[in-house]
Amino acid sequence: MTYEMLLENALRIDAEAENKENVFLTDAKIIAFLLDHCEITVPEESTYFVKTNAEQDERVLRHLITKRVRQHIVPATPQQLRDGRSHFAIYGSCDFGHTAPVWNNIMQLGLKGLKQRILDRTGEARNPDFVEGEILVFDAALRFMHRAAEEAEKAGKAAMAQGIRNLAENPPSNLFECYQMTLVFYTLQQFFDATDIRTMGRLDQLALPFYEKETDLDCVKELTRLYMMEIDAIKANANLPFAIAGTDDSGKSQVNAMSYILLDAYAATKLPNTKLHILCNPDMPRDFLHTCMQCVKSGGNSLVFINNQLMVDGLVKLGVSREDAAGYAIVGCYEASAQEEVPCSCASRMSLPKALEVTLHGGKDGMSEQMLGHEVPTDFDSFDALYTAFLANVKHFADQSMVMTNHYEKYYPMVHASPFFSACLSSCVENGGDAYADFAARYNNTSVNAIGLGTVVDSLYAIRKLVYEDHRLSLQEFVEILDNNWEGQEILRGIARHKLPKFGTANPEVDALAQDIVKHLSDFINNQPNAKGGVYRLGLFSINWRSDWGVHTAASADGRYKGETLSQNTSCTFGRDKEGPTGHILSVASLDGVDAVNGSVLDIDLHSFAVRGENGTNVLMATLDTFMQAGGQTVHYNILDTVTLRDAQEYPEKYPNLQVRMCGWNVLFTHLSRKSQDEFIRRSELLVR
Amino acid sequence: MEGIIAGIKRSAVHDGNGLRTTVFFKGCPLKCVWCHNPEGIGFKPEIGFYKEKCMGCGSCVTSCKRNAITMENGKPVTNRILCDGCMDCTEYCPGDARQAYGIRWQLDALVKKLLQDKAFFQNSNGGVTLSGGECLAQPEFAVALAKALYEEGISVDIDTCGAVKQDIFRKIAPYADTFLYDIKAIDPLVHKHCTGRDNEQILENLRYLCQNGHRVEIRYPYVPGWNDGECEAIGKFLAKLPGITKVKVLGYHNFADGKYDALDLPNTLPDVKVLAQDLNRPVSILRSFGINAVNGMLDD
Repeated sequence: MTYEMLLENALRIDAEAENKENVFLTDAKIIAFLLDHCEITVPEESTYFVKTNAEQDERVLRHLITKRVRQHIVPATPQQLRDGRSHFAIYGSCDFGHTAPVWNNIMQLGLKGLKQRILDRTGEARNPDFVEGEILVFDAALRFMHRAAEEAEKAGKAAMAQGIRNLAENPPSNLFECYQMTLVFYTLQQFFDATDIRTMGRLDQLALPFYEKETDLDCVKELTRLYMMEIDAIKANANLPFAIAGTDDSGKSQVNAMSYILLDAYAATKLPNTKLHILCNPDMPRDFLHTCMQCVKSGGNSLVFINNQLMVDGLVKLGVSREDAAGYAIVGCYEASAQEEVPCSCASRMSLPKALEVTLHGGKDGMSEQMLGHEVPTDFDSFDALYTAFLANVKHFADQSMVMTNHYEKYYPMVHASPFFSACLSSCVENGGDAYADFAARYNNTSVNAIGLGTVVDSLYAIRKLVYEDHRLSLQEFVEILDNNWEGQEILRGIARHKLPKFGTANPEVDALAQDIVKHLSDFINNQPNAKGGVYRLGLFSINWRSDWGVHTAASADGRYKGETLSQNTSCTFGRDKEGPTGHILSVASLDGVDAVNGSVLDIDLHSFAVRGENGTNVLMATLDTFMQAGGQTVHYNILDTVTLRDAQEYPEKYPNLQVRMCGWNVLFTHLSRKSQDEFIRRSELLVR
Repeated sequence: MEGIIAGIKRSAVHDGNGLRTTVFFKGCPLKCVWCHNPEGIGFKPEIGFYKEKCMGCGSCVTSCKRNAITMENGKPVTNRILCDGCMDCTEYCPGDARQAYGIRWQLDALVKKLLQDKAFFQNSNGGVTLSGGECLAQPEFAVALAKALYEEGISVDIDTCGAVKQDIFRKIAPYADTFLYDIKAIDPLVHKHCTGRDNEQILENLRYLCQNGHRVEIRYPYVPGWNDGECEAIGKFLAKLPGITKVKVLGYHNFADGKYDALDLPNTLPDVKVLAQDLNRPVSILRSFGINAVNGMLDD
């Protein structure tokens, strides 16, 4: 059946549905229909699994989610919340896009076992249709598997077909089937549930028992390489990561033979779409970390290093059992998700620079004069008074973002169900309900990301210093300058940009301000109840929101023009790390990483020449060690190349700290003459390796 | 105790082992034509002025207590005879066009600053490198700083041109980890032509260090047309010395020309180019003497 016909039928089933208050059974019927009628193709390059046309264009159920949100939620959204959202102060919405399936259950039980577990359940189900709906989808999945096996056979892929047939009956029995099982379940949940899987889990742990039964190491390596190619070829939205390393319950490193094999395969294939999470702890083997850093140096910039202990402790503080916390994975970019947790990690966010902007404007948006915050005086006789009002607006935005998200969450039962995802969660099966439509998971949590920390810290510090300490100008004068987007005030702007201490230079005063803001954010957000029976979790990462929201953010006191991008993640504003990477690392590590399980992230840019050779690898390892020892949570590295040098030549203000070293001698790139820069770029092209 | 420091660079990775902070002392007894740190030549604090960053605001003019700065055609001009290096003008320069080359540091304050990165040093087997200019040309401060860091358990490397009294080496050696020792030429006439001084003291000091069990890494800046004919002589001389861990051949570049302009110094940089492959010849000549020579443009 064509995609259009699949969609047409899905809409028909949806229209005929009897229970509009809970979409679980309706969605199960739609999914079963899609599985029975989708077209199956077998790409020439695939080793493990087939493709279907249910995943082309917009996924069918995703189409329904959009329709239902427009139908039920949007008209009922209060104006005040819409104002906040349309002025880029807060954001709250649905998030069906960030899940970590309980891969252990999937590997141990297989499809039939997952189905049997539902049949075997006793006690009253939270959703009376739960068993019926689940059996519908699983039976359809098993029929789909047989169709898939036939298609694979027709395409001459005997091993693929054989594996699919085995997985239709049993849990995986070897490494090939283990990898295949992840792709089978990925297909079922991602494309039919339309609930995004944002991690293939802790693959080294999942694969180890199967590895131990294999006798041919070369074969293991080749299977792993082919698997990498296949998950990368999915070209998942944003990325499709997996995690390795981590610790067992006692805190001992779990790096195993498969950790090395997966890392080597990842390094060798240089995949653009696959992110790798390294769950770090102090006793991680040094040679393993060494290989990770070689990978970073080679341009494999998709490695993210996570402080394992901080994430586990942070999850426990949110009410997660230590056992479920220890089995966490990272969904998407940086967000920890415990076993049996639905983290909705990108449902909600708020802008810190906007909270300061409204504080400076009596509660109004500096761009549109719309009332967004608390009505506060327009002048403050001390910095403390200003800061207190700022924190009140931070709390207000945090509250508003959660109120808005709660508003969306109340409608989840009418919007989306995810039968495959729910079936892999033991808690959903025990409770007899869907993870979304019935909030039946053990942890039904939601996350708020606060963005623009570096921008707001530098801005607050600039106001404190220039207005309240140096009395260089009054607050009202400063606000007027910002309203005029620094026009005619290049000198003051230069001072704000270049002459004041910044976050990211390990300046204790500035860092203390950042620490205090994070502490308050944690108080305002962590463990606040959501509308799903779970709690909120704080995150501090920014993706591309920092540029989208920056467009709608007025000029700020740190020297930023109206509309310019906000600072990235928990890193300093780009180019402000004037004390180099070590100062930057110490500043960010000083933030509380335990209370931000949704991600507190440092981005370090290093030039490829700075990390060359064995000493460069050693240095990279030392930066990671020091960051983690100092309490840093998440870090990734960008190794810069000639492209960056060209950009630095064109926009030197962006790169005041770019150090370039050809040999034993150092030069500050922006201090070079144009001629020298040209030559440096040419020479760097020759030397990059 | 006070030292005059041209600059401090954290996260240095090419000035010795591991992750280091390099302290550039102000002032050097030599005047190498190819000097890439001209801000380290003079002993007194001086201003570096990067005119392309100047906003023409005149803040520096009003900040200067000695009236050493005047505006000409919308840009400030510094009378370097009147300037006493107080650096007030750098504090007020909104474009960051004025760089302070030469800050008077108290020993305690400098040690405290350097200890900020102690954990990085320990995790990378790195430390602090005293460089310059010539760090040993401020001998009392250099020795006191090395001793203070040594007592904190920090590795201290000494990057030196060697043109100081041997007694200074005796005093600093107990606190030094590795000497990063420049050899520019063996022939005294060539040396004088390149650096303004002959090399008798330099070679004697190197012999002293090597014969007394100190760890020495040699750096040979290779500048075609100036000292490229010295490879054999250097190899022959070094082959006889014990304790040399490595000889790094450094490729000359003229990227410091922006700094000469900023300091109003006549640019003496030779107009020659060195590519990585050009260093293969000196490296292989040195290796023919049994020396562990490396191409500094490719390896550390």
